[in-house]
Amino acid sequence: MNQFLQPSVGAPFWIFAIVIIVSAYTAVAAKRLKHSLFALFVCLVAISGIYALLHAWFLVYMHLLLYLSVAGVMFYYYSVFSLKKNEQYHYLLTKNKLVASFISLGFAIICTILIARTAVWRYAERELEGDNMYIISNYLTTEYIYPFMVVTFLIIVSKIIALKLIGDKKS
Amino acid sequence: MFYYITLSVVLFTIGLYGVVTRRNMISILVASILLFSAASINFVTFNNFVVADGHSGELLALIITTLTIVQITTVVTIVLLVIKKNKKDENDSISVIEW
Repeated sequence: MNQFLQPSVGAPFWIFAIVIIVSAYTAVAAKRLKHSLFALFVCLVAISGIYALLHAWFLVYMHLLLYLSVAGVMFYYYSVFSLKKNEQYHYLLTKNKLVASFISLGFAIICTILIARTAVWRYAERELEGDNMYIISNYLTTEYIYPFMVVTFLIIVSKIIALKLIGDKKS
Repeated sequence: MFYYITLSVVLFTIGLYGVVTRRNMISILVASILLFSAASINFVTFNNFVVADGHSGELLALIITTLTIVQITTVVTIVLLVIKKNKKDENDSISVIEW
């Protein structure tokens, strides 16, 4: 019997697959953008679950880390742009500083844990053995160092240009 | 492996449908992220089931994920600049995107 048809083995896969398909369709078909972005976030978290089923743990942590930061930025923009015109300079989070502090602190703790878990520098000098995260980290710092550096450079440049363009009053 | 590939095909189809049908720039971005995610699932699946002791698929999926982040940054920047420009031209055009 196929293992995917057994509830004990295939159940996580089917749960993640249904969540991915439903949330992906919602992300594409939703009329309001906030619903679309929330559905996309759910879809990406479920895709991380599929990566976990495929034993790609490094990808799981990186996926969650990257998309958590994107979700944070999107939440910030949403909180800014969803306000009425007379409230534009009193952002949503500044109304309740305690809630804002808790959200920021929780986000920082999650990011710190994920970064510490995926720390590449810890594995750079060791031999190729062990779990998936260990091996991928070693590849990134040795054989795949150039693509890794190029992608890092692209991310940094795009972020700097984005901040410069948005912050520039003359643009 | 068949089930993972089928899932990625379904995800790719939904993303393609979104890219073709939606006109809002951020909606097209959302749909294109689904396309990239489908490709990443394919890479990881083939890496897990076909290649013995290889990790190229996972590394490619990682690079695709980070390039998707670059794409998101670029498109969000463009959209914010458009909003900013419209805001200068008109008084109340911050609702150019229907949140």
